[in-house]
Amino acid sequence: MKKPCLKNKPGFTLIETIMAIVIISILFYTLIAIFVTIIPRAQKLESIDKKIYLAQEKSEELLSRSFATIANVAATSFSGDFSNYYFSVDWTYVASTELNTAVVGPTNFKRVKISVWGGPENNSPTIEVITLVTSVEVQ
Amino acid sequence: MLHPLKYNNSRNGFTLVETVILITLVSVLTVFLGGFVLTFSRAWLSIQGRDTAVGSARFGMNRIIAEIRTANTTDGLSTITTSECSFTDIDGQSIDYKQNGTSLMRNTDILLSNLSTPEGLRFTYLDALSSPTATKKNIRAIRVWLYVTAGDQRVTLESSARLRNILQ
Repeated sequence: MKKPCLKNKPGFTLIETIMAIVIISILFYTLIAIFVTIIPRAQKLESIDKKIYLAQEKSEELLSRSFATIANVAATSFSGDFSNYYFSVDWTYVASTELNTAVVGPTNFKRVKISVWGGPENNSPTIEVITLVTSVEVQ
Repeated sequence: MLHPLKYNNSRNGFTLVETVILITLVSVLTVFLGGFVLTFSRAWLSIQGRDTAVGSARFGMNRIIAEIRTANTTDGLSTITTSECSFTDIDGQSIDYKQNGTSLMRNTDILLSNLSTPEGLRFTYLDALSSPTATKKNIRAIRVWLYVTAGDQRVTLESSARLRNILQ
């Protein structure tokens, strides 16, 4: 059997080993740094989700009102668990021919924009829901 | 036969001091990295738990909202309390939403089994000016809260459904 000749194989020096450790640490740190960005993203997504439901809430409640009682609402906070979320309502008269352009009015159409913002993640976007309310009676 | 002492005499290996320094370095690094790994695996589990809870809450909320919208006129609402809502839909089918322990019940079916206790489901009945009302014929919209738990995480969703089939 042939003897392994370990004596002639040079090992790592201390410096080399420390350098290797430093490089591995930097790689690991980078990996962790990437992972850390996932947490605020998850929070942001959850807050967008909640805002979509809150915007739906306001739009359903506004549509259940009568045409005349639809009014602007300045920034107002939601209550309870959602006290750090806010909404506002802005409406304009529009003509039946062009529902996206505000006119002086009065007309039978109100274009209502509901904005919802806030939540724990500050850079999370504002959710806007736009709907149309009409006073035209369907017979 | 190999003689172990022969190799220890080699100048290419580590000296005792070098080995001690290395072991100390590696230990310190392991403690730090281990701490990081532990923290982030906990964070990951918590994100997953929240994700599950949000998913459940969305599923439950979408179902409740979609069915309340089909409620048949205001008189079709039979039970209207903060914890239970039952009504008849446009096809004449009776639908009842309430909480039973940690379960969200639709009639006798369990839709979700991770509601928070004691309050995991709440209803508020709103009139045409979005003020709470207890009079069935004045109800125009129903506001729903769902509180869902996953592990130590609690997720709340709030939304409303307008009653589409009111004959005035």
